[in-house]
Amino acid sequence: MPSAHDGREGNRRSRLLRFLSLVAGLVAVLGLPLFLPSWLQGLMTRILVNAIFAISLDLIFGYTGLVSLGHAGYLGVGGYTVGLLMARYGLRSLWVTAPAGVFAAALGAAVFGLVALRTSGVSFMLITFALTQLLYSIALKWDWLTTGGTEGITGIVRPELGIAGFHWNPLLFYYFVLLAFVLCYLVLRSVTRSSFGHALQGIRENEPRMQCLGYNTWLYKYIAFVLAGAFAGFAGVLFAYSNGIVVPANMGIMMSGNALFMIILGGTGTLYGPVVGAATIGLLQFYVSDLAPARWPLVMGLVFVLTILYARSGIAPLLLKIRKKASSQHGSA
Amino acid sequence: MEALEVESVSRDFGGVHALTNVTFRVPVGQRMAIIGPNGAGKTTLINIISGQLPLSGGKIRLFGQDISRLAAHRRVHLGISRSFQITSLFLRLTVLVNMLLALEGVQRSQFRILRPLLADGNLLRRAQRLLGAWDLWDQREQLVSEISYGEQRKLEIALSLASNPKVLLLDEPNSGLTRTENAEIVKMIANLGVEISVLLIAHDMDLVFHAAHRILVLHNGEVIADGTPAEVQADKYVQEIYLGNGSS
Repeated sequence: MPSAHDGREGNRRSRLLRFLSLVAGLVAVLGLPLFLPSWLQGLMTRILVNAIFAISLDLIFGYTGLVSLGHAGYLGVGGYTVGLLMARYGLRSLWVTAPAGVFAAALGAAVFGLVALRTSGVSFMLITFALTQLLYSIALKWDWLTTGGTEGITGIVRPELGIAGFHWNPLLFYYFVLLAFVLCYLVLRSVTRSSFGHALQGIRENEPRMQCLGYNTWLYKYIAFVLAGAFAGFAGVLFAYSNGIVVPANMGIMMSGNALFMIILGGTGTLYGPVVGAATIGLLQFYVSDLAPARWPLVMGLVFVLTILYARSGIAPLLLKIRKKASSQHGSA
Repeated sequence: MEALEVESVSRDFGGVHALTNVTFRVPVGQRMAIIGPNGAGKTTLINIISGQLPLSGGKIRLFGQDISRLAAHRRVHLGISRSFQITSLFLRLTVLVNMLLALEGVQRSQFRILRPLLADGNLLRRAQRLLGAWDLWDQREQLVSEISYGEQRKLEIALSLASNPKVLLLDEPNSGLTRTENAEIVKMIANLGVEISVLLIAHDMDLVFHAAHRILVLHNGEVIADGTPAEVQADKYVQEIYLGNGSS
């Protein structure tokens, strides 16, 4: 039996541990890139973009219980909007291209949501997939939109901020994406802690009961769907800025599946989980592809199976649990 | 003034007539029990009144307003609330969050998208009052999946009261409870505000004769008796098909 003194000690220890991990985290995301080569800065940037995409999907997947296989469609719409505006119309301002990309993606989600939310469960999965394939075909085939077919749209550059004498470099761009990520994270954290966010979780747990408590559950799901689409669109905007090119595959099933995988790996129904998932997948993919390019899908499959077997709720909650156990053991020792 | 009027309501499932021509009225403040053998259509009737199931024919009025075609959530805003026979809660959320969701069901604040739910002092006070009345305030931080079955049953009913309903539909509120828990629930139901009209399904005759002013007997989807407990008890037909079978 740990005494009250030990309990306090353990508590202080765990607070200290939390503080230290926060400091370590801040040093890692803020300080470390200063000393990294630019290609590693680029990798961290891509991880952050994927993290934004994954938390946007988790709003409808983890919090609301809607499994969408077409979420990459909205990332694609955001990216293509930026691409078209920049490469075809010469508009390069951040203040034009980013809002346009987000708005287009939200609009896409608002239209597709009307169709997809007539269904639920497996049908919802299939219909979200089918609708996104529609976008994929548009990107691939529609000459009038000049989306460039399989080649996609090239010639996308980092956006102009409207600040005289400002020039991008990979490090500055990394900090820009980091700031965008932090903002998205904080907004979505507020959303998930709000009345609205709790209602989404109520719908995930028991939709009929929510209706019997007076909630228009359809409207909730619709708003969440559009909101998630808008954030995915923003991820797509950053994706285009960062990659300089968008291709149809960016809105394909692989992209949607990857995001689902990041969420499941990290921890469904949390916001930090998908971030951990995005970082894990990003780093793994990078190093495995470096060692044995053809083996990445095999490794990813193995990681997925191990997650499902041994860490069903994701690795982030698992790590938290281990840390808690470790600090309480220290406390009573 | 009638709180609830059910007029010639029918419901078919394929070729099966689950309810045929069901008609009755619940005046304001009345406690009415629905009894009947399994498969009589009691839960179907509750589902139709609360709006989970569309009706095949007939009309339902709430304080004179036709609600037959309204969505379930709209009916809640007009004053109907229900509990479920098979406990229907939010298992992976805490007791407190369950109650807060229930309290916000009929409030505009439910659409607040940036303000934390757990920081609403006014809402928390109301949750404390209601959970306290049902002896659940001490369990507020626990997940609903972790509390006992008896506590879940109490929470089930407490949630249905959160919207301050004018008409309360209780589907076997005491099913599966121990004797002590049962007595507690019967007492809570008997003590509900006099302005609340209650329609309750029960198998337990103790609950029926304690809580009900009137009894409606359903059999094979039809109303076969509607009267005071004494009248229904004296009804030969009811005795034959229901009370006489030793189910009391």
